[in-house]
Amino acid sequence: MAIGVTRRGILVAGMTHAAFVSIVGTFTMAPSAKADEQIESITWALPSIPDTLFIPHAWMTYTGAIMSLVQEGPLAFGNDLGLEAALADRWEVVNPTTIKYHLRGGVKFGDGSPLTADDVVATFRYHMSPDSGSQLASFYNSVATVEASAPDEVTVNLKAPNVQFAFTPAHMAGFVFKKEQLADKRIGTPEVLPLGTGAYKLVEFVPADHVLLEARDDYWGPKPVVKRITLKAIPDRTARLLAMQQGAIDGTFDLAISDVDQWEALEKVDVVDEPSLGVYLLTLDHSAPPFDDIHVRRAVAYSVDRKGLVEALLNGKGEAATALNPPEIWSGVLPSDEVRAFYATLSPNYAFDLKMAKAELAQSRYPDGFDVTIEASTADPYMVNIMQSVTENLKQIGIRARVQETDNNTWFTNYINHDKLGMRIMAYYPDFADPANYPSLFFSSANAQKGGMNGSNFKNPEVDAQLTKANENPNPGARADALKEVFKIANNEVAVVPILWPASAMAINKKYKLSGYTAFWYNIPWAMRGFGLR
Amino acid sequence: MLGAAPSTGSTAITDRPGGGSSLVVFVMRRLAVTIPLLLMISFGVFALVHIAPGDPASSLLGARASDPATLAVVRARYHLDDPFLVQYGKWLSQVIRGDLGVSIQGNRAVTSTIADRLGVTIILSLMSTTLVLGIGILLGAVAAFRCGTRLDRAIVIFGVFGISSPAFVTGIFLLYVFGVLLHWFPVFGPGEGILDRAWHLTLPAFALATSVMAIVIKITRAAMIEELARDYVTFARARGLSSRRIFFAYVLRNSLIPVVTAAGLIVVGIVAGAIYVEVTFSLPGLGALTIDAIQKRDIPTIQGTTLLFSAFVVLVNLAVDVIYTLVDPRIRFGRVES
Repeated sequence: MAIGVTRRGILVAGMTHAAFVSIVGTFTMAPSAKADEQIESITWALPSIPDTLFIPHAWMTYTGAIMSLVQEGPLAFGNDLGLEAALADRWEVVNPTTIKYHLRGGVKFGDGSPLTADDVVATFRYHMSPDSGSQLASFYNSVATVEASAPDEVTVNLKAPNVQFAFTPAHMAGFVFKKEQLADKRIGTPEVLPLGTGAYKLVEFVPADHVLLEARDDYWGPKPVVKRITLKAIPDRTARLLAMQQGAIDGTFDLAISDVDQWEALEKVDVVDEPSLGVYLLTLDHSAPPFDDIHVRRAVAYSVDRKGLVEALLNGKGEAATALNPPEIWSGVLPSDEVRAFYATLSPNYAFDLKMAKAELAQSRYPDGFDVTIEASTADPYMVNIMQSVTENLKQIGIRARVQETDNNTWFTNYINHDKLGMRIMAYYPDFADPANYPSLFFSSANAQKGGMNGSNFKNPEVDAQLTKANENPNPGARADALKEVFKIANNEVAVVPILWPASAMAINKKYKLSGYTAFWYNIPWAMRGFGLR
Repeated sequence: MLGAAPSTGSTAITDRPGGGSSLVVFVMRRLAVTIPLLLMISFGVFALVHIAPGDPASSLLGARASDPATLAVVRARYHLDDPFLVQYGKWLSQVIRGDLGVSIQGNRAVTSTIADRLGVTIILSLMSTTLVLGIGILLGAVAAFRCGTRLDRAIVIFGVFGISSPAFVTGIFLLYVFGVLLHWFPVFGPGEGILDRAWHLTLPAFALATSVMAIVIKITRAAMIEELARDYVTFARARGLSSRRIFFAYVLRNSLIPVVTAAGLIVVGIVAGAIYVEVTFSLPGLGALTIDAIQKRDIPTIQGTTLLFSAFVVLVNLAVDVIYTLVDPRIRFGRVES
């Protein structure tokens, strides 16, 4: 992935020089399609189509894959996952708690009405209002007020400096709705299709089945290459493969990596993979026996055969995780080769070693082992398999571990309710590429409670202090130093046991190309990012 | 999915001799029993969802940590913090007013969601039922007539294969052969318009039918072999009646009674199997809706679809009992004759 200097440059600039960003923003705009490259229609498969297209109530990657073509935020993610201009042609960090977004002129919604600052304010306030029940409310927790400071300007005041808020206007939490539509309770249903300022408009929506999008002639940006896009739900993995083989679909996202070899065997199909920036990990409850014992936690950490799992489950398309953050997610503050070099210095490194695991367990208060049951969601393509491997290894060192397969809802509810945590497996995919995101979720003591992601109940004042620094200080160097400190402590204390960083893969008919495929396919207008005839 | 109790219509009807009016009384009585039955089922399902681990709010708020204030609002909106009986009471009072509530996931009236999905499931089930009964009875009859031959064995083996492989496996096999290799049928989606929909639903209907057909083949074959060995058949042959006449006028009709008895089970089995087939063939039907609702603990939708399925099971069994008396009029007048 082409990350590094460019993205860093953009992020730093975004925090300090609004004018520079506006130039970069214009410069990084996707090249417009040539007239002769117009494609009449394509059919794209998704594992599911949501019941509603209203993002605040259907915040899923598949909703994003549809609505990112219809709606836009003030900012957007570039192909390097950095921030770039979208509805706002420039933005300015006035001071650490005030950000101004200047809206582009001449932008219209799908119904022809103009975009105003009021629409942006109404959208942000909708998420902030508890009454709306928005799933994205937590992205606005750091916001104090949102005002239309001019007809084409929106000012956001933060409660305290927060570097992570910079990304909110770029992903699904920032997609702008038309103010009047937000008042309609039926928004998102086939009766009231959400309007957006994006390159496409919704023409037809049959919940759980399909969506039809049509390119807009009055879009402010480059002319869309594909005129009509049909997105179809094909939930069964094999049926999706057969549909691709038959030529009934032109492409699909979110292949299970374990199936990729079957997809690659198809003649007319290209498989594209990129680091997903996701992570699989084990959490161990530090607040209760037996995992309050550091030697038990280390014994578990040594018992995970990460490399074996990457080979067996991911066909090599992914990486054995040596820490919570995949190296690419650091790109705003540290190039990934420097991150890898840093990870290599972490000690102990917990490489798979059952002798070490046994030795650690022998030093613990449980030399004869103990019983533990780990819930794994059957909806996830890898979770159950990962846990089967881990529990077999744990049995060899004397920990009598058992996998309990559950449906996704049970698995997640039990995790988030922090009830009898013990050992748990978690899979997490990011909404934006910032290295403070995962550590804040999994390591901060504020999240070590019901409703928080810190399933290890890991609490460390030094970590909390460094996380505050990393979240408040926009300087990349200072952030990198703070986060390195966090990862050193987390590694030493076994705050979590990282397992895998899987790749994310898509398939596309060889007739076409999609050069802008990234980990954030659900947050970007993918059909506008280098989609075209080969 | 609810299993159907074997039909007991014949005994109920023989209790009240007296021809046509007894049938009406019988139907009315059965319909009256349906209401408390549906109440019990809806209460049972509500209780099961309540006992099951998981939380509708957490699936609504996504697999992410959510804002506590938002969580509280969502829980209050769907009365999730009320005591169990209060929740059920609120749901029931809505249903009595003809309102199945609003789905937690889709934010739409459950009745409109069900109305959208119903068409696919009805056509799929009708097509499979026709296939199961049509082809099943035909194959069963052929096997009985050619009893002991290779054809007979081939038919029985086909039936056993069908019932042994789950509908979603048969589905994938059919998709590969007729969709991918031969390009005869589409590989996904429900189609639009009657003809297009029938074309789209042919493979799913076959997949579904194959998994249930063995029952019909075996019952028809056994009943028919038994009938063929009866004295009246020998007598009819001795009288010089044509095989066709013997088959259609006597043997078929008499051997259909056990098939009709099983038909209730078969139809319910088909609707239950539709759940898997709908997922395999990417069909937005009621089965797929129910599975999805259960996974997301969408209580109003689960209650709505199970209520519909239960009513359907009850009505199918009632219909079977009525058809039973039409196939064999003796049953209605049983006591009078005896």
